[in-house]
Amino acid sequence: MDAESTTSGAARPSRARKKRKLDASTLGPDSEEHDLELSKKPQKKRRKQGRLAALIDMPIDVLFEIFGHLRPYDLLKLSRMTKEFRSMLMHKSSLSVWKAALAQVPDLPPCPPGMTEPQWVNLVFDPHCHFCLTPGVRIIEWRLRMRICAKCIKQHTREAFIIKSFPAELDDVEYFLPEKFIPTRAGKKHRRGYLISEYNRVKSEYEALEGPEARQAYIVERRRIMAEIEAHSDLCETWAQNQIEDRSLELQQLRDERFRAIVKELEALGWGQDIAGIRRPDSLADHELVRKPQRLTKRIWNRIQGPIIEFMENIRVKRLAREFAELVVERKSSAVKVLRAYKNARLPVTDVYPEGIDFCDFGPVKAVLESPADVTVDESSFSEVVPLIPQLIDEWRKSIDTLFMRKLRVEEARLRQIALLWGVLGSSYYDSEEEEYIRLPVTTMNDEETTAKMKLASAVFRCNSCRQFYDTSSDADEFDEQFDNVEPLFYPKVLGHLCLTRKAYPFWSWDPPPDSVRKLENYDKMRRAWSPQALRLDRTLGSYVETLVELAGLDPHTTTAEQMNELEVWFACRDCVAELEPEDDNSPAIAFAFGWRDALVHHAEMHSIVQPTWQLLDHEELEKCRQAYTAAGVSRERMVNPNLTAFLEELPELPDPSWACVHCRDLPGEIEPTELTDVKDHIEEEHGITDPQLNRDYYRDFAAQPPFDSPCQILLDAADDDEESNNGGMEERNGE
Amino acid sequence: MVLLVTSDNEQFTTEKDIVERSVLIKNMLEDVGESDQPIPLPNVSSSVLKKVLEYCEHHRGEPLPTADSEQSQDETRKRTTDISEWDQKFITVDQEMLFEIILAANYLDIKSLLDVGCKTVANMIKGKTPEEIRKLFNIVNDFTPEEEAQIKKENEWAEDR
Repeated sequence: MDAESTTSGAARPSRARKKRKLDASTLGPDSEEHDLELSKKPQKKRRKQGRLAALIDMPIDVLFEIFGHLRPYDLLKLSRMTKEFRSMLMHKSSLSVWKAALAQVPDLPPCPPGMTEPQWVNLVFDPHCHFCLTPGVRIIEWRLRMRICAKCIKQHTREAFIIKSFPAELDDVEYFLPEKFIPTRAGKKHRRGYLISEYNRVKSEYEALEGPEARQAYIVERRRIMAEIEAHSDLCETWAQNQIEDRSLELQQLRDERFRAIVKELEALGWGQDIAGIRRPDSLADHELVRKPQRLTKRIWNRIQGPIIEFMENIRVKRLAREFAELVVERKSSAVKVLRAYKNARLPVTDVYPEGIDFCDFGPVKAVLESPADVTVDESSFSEVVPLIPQLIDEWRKSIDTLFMRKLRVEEARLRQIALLWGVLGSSYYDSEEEEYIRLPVTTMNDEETTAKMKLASAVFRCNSCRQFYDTSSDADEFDEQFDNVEPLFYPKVLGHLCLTRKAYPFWSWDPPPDSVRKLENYDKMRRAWSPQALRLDRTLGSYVETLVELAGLDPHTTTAEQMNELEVWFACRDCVAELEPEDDNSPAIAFAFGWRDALVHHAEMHSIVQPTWQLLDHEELEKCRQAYTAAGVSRERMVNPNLTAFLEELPELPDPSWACVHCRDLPGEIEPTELTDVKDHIEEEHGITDPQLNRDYYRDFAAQPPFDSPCQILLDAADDDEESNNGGMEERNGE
Repeated sequence: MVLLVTSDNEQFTTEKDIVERSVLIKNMLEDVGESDQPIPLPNVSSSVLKKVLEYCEHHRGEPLPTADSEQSQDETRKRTTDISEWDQKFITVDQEMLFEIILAANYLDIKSLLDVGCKTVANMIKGKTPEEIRKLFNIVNDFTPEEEAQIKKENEWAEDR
């Protein structure tokens, strides 16, 4: 504000001169320059010191009246203006003016004894070094009653580091302890610094005294002075701190006021909508020309409005872009309708399909969505896109295979590195040169090898999102996974795993809530473009699968997951036999039999601490077991010991949450695949269909694995005597 | 009605309650009583008196400050900032006129006008450097650089002056 008033004020004398010139124009020719010259001369005669303004010629009481309205620092500056002002203001008779001005400064501590009022004002308000007069020294050394620049501090002060206390009864000045008798300032590392001149002065005063009484009295007097300085300095520091706080509040108020004034100006110019449309990180209030603590005058506004309007133009561009983006999002619901119609006409699901978010990213779809703002976009706008959909989806399908293959390569390399680092896996699996893998972050598998590898039953993926509460930092460590939620994923079903198109809802985000294409109303997630990011290749489960495949008489290096699904074999878990000790030697041993994927899950969940020991049962053998079990007349109750009861309760009928609602598909209200009964209930409740039909009202999710024939789990009577042929392996265990 | 004569011999006829804003004239009228005699104002020119009367007319009827109406300290603090809008407009004159008005207000003893004038001058001075003040009032710096450095030490409070 000062700058403003200065310049506007500076314009005044010229106006004043002009007036005077006109008054005097009768004296000379009417040329302005000539007048100006002329008008100066009579004034020179009239006024005492050349053109000294009328101010100094005012009667003394008027001058004092004016001074009475000034702040202390203004008085100080007036006193430095001319010799005449100085002698007037430095005269004792002006003391009342100084006192009155100081009294106007709220809460300022009084001028301390030993200082004159001008000195006090000079200390408190004039930011210059008291040694070298360097301006801009903000810090006041209240105890030293000086402002000292960094350079002069080095030159004029000394650190006080003598820790001994002053022995008052001794004359020895060597023990003179500075900080007790002269003021000090806080220096580096908690050391106090004192003024060398002050030290010398006090020291020589002390030394000049004769006799212990005089010196003792001097010491007492110094202590009194020091206490006084200390108390006064405390007051001053508090005052200065409050000044800073008040000032920052005042500055903030000025900034707010300026901001409001600028908003008003901009609104008058028609930028109101854009001001309301400013989004972070853009901010008008933080604009460098806006956030100044300076009142907005017409002149300032004229000066700054150019750059501010430029800023607003930029904001308008952003707003329009945002509005267009919102329009595009709105249009996306029409595109989703087209996609839904296509997908629902192709039930049952035989392959993974894109969701709305990926579909809207297809070139031809995007082109329609981004039609100019004045074009109406609805389902019919996509008529030319519809015939292209099979091809577009085919391309998308290939693209996600490519992404998946890349993920597999990365995972392979990661596991190899972990394996090498921990030495957990031997070179039997990784027969290539181990050192090479340390240097190569990504495996060198070509596409053909990768395609073959990804289809293998032993390529077991797990989803990090589903098991995010577990520490998965080391996949090689079995112990980490002991109580993990195991859901093994296999190609190609893994491509349809829900987490690959879902992500956590970002509560912490500044972003607006997800749009209709991303939004999911029924759970705390939102849709995302398809990504295999959450998948992890699990070597431990992979090695279990290899055991199973080998047990089934197949080659783990070529057998695919789909081939394993087609096998009619079961695996009895011999680890259960080992863990569940029979009540006595005559009791039958108990085992469970599972299909291959459930055998894998069972082992990972229950026995991951040991290497698996399975026994292969083909369909025929399984039937035999059941018959022998019945023939032996062993009641189920008899065999079930307390441990086993708990065990059975934990494993009721295998859940099959694989059913989804056609009517909600790809809409914000979509539900996660669930149990058949649940999805039927949902369809009845939400869509009013009492007799839902498969592939009309509900469908089996692509990611769902084929269910195994019942029984998935059986109790296997493995008594010593009768079941020798089938359970030789278990007998051995049992006997141990 | 009261008749006033300025230094340049111009006569002004004005109403009593206007001119009585001036304590000087008010006292004079009280001393002299009702009279047709013009009151001479040898220290006030016609152009200045015109302004002064404009001020008095605007503020006619307002209570005059009395000796015991001491302003509270808080009022004192902000007294430099609170010039009313009309007064501000009124006092927006060239410097010469401003000083003349102040002198006239001082002479005529119109406390509120003197206040407005002094506040205006004070506001012009406030927040400026000595150099800026010199420029504003056309004042020549008569300090040598050495003297300027010396005065900043502020240790010449003249006990004996």
